[in-house]
Amino acid sequence: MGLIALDIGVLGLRALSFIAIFQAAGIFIFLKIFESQLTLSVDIIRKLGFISSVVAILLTVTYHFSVPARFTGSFGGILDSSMQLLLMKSNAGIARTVRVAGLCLLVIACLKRGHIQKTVGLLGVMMILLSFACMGHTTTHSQRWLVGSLLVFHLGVVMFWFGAFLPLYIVARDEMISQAGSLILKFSSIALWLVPMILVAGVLISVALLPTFWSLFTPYGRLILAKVCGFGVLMGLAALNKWRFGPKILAGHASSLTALQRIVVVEWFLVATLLAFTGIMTALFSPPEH
Amino acid sequence: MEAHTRLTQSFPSDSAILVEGPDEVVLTFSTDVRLTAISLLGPGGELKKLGPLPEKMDQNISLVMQEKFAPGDYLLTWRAVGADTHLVSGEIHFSVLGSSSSPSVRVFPEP
Repeated sequence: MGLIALDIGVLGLRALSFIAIFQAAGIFIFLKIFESQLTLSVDIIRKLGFISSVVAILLTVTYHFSVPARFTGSFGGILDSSMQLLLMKSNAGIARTVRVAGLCLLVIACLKRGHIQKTVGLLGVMMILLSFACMGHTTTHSQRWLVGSLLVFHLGVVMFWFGAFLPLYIVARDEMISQAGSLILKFSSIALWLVPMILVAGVLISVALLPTFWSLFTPYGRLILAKVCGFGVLMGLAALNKWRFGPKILAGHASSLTALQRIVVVEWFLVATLLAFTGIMTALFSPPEH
Repeated sequence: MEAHTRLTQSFPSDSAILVEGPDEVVLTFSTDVRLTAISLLGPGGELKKLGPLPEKMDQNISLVMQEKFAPGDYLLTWRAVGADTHLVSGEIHFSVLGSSSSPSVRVFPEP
């Protein structure tokens, strides 16, 4: 049965919910690490975190309740209580409940500054990460704890990276140039060793999920190859930030701030596309059998 | 590793040519599933009636035909959900030659 408009709509919701979830959690991680170095931009970044969390909740809940429409191939599935119950009792239902609870904690954490808010937000991020590990292809793997831990680490670093793009844009726009330069360099120095770990963890997960090398040429394998290619382009842009724009901004070149903002927007769109693509493809394809 | 659910067998099978229309449609899956949608399009796009969808999960699902088959090409489309709520779906094309009063003979395509 081919994809119909209804499938495309529901999968579109899934893709958007992935982007919003990673954005919301990522902004909180950014605030947790860099909040003490922000002055002019802190309120707007926190507000963005709040809005992203609310949008992520709305998209996740809407997606969850529209999944039965895909089950039945008609919008009537949304109103079918037995389908909704089937979904709610499944791993996916439990995982999305945990995810929404985690997002609610992020909403609270982004409301105002404080130690309790930071702890609550961190708990929220952990719940969101765990929700991804307790559903999907990792749960049926014989080494589920190992693959699940790798997935949590992989997604956590993606959250840190993707979630930082918009805050960095705001920092480059609103903060004093010296402060912006110092923060961008600090971010780049963390990202320099942490972001390549996305690839390392991703490769290890792929080795565990794919039975043979030739599995890379199945639809699921091609998804992985496409992600690796996208990651390569992104690493090039990240290197540009680190070695070209960061030092120039620190040296007081205001024009580099504008260039950095442009690069950050491009990076945001690239990672958002990869997240959306992953969300759609993992709903449609599974790793080949071992 | 336990893979997602897939259809392992069906009657009619895909591309089958039947002398008479089947009395029932049988789908066999690799794991228990909940059949969530099924439709049968007959010649000229006419929608044929099948028995009600079972509410329980099962590995073998059979649905009784509620209408006679006219000669022509048929398209059976289905959707099912495994315990992991991963959606699987598919299409089965088959043809009914139409016929005589002789007993039903199932003609399957060559492997």
